[in-house]
Amino acid sequence: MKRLLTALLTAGAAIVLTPAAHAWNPRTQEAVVITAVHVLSKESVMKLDKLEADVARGASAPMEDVRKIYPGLDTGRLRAIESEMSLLRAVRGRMIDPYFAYRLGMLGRLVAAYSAPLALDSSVYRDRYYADVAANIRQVPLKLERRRLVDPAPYFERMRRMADTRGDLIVQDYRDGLGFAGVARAALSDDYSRSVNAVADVWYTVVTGGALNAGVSDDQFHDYVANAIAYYVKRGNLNEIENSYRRLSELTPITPDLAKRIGDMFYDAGFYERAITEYSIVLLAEPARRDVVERIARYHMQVGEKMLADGQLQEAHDAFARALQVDPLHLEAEAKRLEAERLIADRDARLQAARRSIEEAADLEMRAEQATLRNRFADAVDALKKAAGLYDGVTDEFPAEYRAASMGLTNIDLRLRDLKSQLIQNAQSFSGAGSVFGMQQLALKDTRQYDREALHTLATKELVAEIGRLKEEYRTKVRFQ
Amino acid sequence: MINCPYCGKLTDPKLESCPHCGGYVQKVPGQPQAAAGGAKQTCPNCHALVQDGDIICVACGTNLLTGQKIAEEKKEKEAVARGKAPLMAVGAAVLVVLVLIGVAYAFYAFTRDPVDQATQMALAGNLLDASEVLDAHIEKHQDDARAQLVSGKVRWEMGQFPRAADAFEAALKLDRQNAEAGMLAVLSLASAGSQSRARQIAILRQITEQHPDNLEAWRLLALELGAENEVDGQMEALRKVLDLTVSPTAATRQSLGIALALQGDYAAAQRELNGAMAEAEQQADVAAALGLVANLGGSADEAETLLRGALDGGTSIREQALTRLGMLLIGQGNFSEAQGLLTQAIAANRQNTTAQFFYAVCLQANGLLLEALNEFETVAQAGGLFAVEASVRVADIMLGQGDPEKARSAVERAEQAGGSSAALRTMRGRVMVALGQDNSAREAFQRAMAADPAYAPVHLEAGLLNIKQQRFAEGVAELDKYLALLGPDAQRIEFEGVRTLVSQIKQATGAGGQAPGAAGFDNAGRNAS
Repeated sequence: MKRLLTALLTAGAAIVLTPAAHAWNPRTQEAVVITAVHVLSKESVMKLDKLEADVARGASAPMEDVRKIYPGLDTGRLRAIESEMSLLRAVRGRMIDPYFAYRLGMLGRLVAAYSAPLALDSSVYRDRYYADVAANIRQVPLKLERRRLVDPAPYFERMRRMADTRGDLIVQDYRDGLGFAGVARAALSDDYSRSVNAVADVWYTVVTGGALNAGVSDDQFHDYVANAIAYYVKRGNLNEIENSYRRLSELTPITPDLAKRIGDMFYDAGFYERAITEYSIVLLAEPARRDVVERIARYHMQVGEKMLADGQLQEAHDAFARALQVDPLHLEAEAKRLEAERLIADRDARLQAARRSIEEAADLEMRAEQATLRNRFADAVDALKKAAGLYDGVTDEFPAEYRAASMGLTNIDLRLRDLKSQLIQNAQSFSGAGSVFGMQQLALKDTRQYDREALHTLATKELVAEIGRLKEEYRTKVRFQ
Repeated sequence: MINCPYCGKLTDPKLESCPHCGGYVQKVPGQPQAAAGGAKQTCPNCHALVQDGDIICVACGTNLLTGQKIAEEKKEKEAVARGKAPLMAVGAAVLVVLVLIGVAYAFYAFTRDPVDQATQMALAGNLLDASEVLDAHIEKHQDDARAQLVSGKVRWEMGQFPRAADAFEAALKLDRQNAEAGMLAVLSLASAGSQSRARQIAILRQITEQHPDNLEAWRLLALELGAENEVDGQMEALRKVLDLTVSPTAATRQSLGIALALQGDYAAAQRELNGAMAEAEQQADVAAALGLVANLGGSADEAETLLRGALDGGTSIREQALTRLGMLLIGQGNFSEAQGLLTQAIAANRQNTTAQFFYAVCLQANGLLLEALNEFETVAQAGGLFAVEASVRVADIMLGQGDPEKARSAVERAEQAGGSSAALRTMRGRVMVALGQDNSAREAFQRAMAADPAYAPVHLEAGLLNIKQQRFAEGVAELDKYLALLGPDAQRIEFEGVRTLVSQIKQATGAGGQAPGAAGFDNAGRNAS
C-alpha cells in the first residue's frame, strides 16, 4: 500500500511538475544557453566558441535523452542540477572536450528552465507567455552580472524568488487581455538576463570551482564514461574515440560491466575489432561470462563466413579457429574450420597445378624459341600452342599465377604473330629459287637445237674437207702439161 | 709425158704399161707380146683380127710386138740405113723436105684450131693469151664444148674460179655426158666461195642423172644436201652411195649418222656413227657427233664422256663441243668447270651467244653477279636466241640486288623484244610482288600458267604470293604443284628448303589437309578474338 501510495504521489508530482521541464520555450532555452556561451567567451571565463555546436546539441537534446542522463529530473530538478554540477566538476579535465560541452549544454538547458518565470505555474497562460517570449527574444537587451560561484541551494532559491516576483502580474495581464504587452514585455529583459546569468554562473562554477568527487558515485562515473563513448561512437571518428577512451579511462577504472557496455556500443556501431578488445577485457576478468563468449564467437564466425564467401580461405579458417578458441564447444565453428581446411588443401593443390602448368608452359616457350632459331617454325608453333593451352588452364583464383599466365598468353600471341611473319618472310626468300634449276633445265633440255646446229656444222665441215680432197684430185686433170 | 702407142692417150714414159689401155709403153726385147697358141686376137691399134704369132697387122701395119706402125719403123730403119749409105745426102734432103712439109702441115693445123692454139699457149705457160684466144673463139662458137672445157681449165689455172665454173658448166650443158666438166664446175663454184650451193647441187644432180653410177658425184651431192639441211635428199643420195659401194667408208657412215640424227632417228644415227668410229682414222669428229646425238637422245652422261673424248682428240667442231659440254655440266650443277669450258668456247668464237649466255649463267651461279650482269646485258643487246632470256636473267639479278625498278626495265625490254614466255611472265610477276603490286603479280602469274602450265617456277612464285597474303591453303596447293612438276628433281638437295617450307606451313596452318599443331596462327587461349 505504501509502495502504491509512493508511486501515485510520484506520478502525480510528475504530472504537476512536468511543465517545469519546459519552462521557457525550447527555442528560448537554447537561446539562453548559446547566449551564455558567448557571455563566458566574452568574459574570458572559458572559450566554448569552437564547441558551440556540441553545447547547442546538448541544449536541444530530445527529452528522452535528457531523462536517460537525469533519471530523477522530473522529481527533483534542483537535485539533478546539483548532481550534474558535481559530476561535471569531478570529470572536468584540463580542457573541455566535445562531450563535456554537450553535457554543459544539457545542464544549461536545465538551469534556464529552472530560472524562467512561471516555471512552477500551471496557468493556462503560461505557454502563451513562453511563446511570446520566444517570439520577442532577439530584441531583448541583456543585463549581465558579475560571475559568481554557485552554491545551488541558496542560489536557486533566491533566483526562483525573483523569477516568481512578477508571475502573478503576468498572468493577470494575460487574463485581462493585455497579454505580453504588459508586465511580461517590461520584465522580459530582467527575466531573460536572469536565466543567462544563471546558466553562466553555473558553468562558471563547474569550470572554475574545485573538483568535487564527493557525492559522485562510481555508477555516475561509469554512466558518464559510457555515455561519452556512446557520444563519440555516434560521431564515428575512431581517433577521437580512442583519445576520449584514454582520457575517460583515467576518470574511473574500466570495470567488466563498463567494458561490456562499451564493447556492445562498439559492436553495434560496427567497430568489431574494437568491440572484441573490450570483450577481451571482460573475459580477462570473468572468463566464464557466457554472453561475452558467445558474442565474440559469433563475431568470429561472421568474419569466417564472410572470408569464406570472399574466397579468403586462410582468413576464414583463422576466424573459425578463433571462434573455437573463445568457445571450444562451438560445434559449427569446428565444422566450418574443418571445411575451410579442406578447401585450403584443395586450393593449394590447384595452386600447385597452376604453377606446374606455368612452369611447363615456360619450358615449351623456350623450346619454341629454340625451334624458331633452327627455322623449324611448325615445331615452334606447336610448342607455343601447347604452352597456350597450359596457360589457359590457370584460372583467376590465384591472382599472381593468373597474371603470370595472362602475360604468358600475351607473349605467345606476340610470338605467334612473329612466327607467322617470320614464316611468311622466310617463304618469300624462296622467290627465284627455281631460276637456277630453270637454267639447268634450259641448258639440258631446251637447247637441243644447238646439237642439231652443231651436227650441221660438222656436216658442213665434212663437205669442205671433201671439196678440198676433190680439188686436189682434179687439179692434175686441169693442169696443162 | 708421151702418147701411148696403143691408145694414143698421154701416159708416163717411166711406166711399163699404159694405165689407160694396158699396152706396153716400153719395148721389151726378147719377150714376145703375144700369148702362145693359135688363138685369134685383135690389133691393139685398129682392132682388126690377127693370128697368134703375127708380128705385123696387115690392116694397119702395126708391129704387134712393139705397138709401132711398121711405116714409122721402116722410116727409122731407112734413116739408119741412109745414114750408112752414100745416098744419105739425098735422103736427108728428102727428109728435110718431109720435115718442112710436116712443119708446114703442123703450122697449118695449129693456126687453123684456136683451141689447140690456146692449149699450146697454156702449155707454154701463157695462160692470159690462151684465155683471150679462147674467149674470142667461144664468143663466136659458144657451142664448142671442147673450147669451153679448155677455157674452164685455163680459168681454173688462173685462179678465176667463178669464170672457170661458168665455162665448165657450159661445157657440161653442151656435153651432158662430160661428168668431169660437171665435177670441175662444182669444185670451181665451191672454190669461188660464193653462195652457190644450190647451183652446185643442181650440177651434181645433172651428173648423177647422166651417170647414175658415179659414186663420187653421189657422195658429193649427199654432202652438199646435208650442208644445205636438205636431209631427205641427203638420205636418198647416201642410200645411192651405199648401193654403189660394197663396204661403205667411215666418212659415208658418219654423214649417214648425222643425217639420221637430224631426221630424229637417234638410235639409227648412233649405229652408223659407231660403225664410222670403228673404221675412221680420225675419230674425234665421230665422237663429237656421237656425243651430240647422245644428248639429243637424252643420254647426258654418255654425251659428256663422248664430248670430252672428242675434245681430247681435237675435233673440228671444238667450239660447239666445248659449248655443249659446258651446258651439260651446268645441267649437272657443275658451274665452275662449265664456266672454264664456256670461256674457251667464247675465245674460239666471240659471236657464240649461246656460250656467252650460259657463261653468264655460270657467273651468276658462282656468285659473280656484276660480271654475270654484264654478260647477260651483252647477250640481250646482241639479240638472237637468248636475248629475251638474258633480259629475264638481268631482271632476276636486279631483284636479288633489291632494285625492282631496274628489274622492271629489263622485263619491259624483253617484252618489247617480243618475249612472251612463261619464264618472262613469271619474272614480271616477281617484279610486281617486289613493287608491292600484288594484283598485277597475280595476273602475270596466271598468264604465265596459261602460256605453259608445266612451267614449274611460276607455281612456286604464285604459292609464295598466296602465303604472303596469308592465303595459306592456296599457297600450299601451288607449292605442291611446283614440287610435282619438278618430278624426281624435287628430291634434290636444293629443293629441300621448299619441301620444308611446304611441310611447315601445312603443320602450322593446317593447310593442305594436314592437322595443325593447335589452331594455326590464330590467337591463343583467353586472348583469342
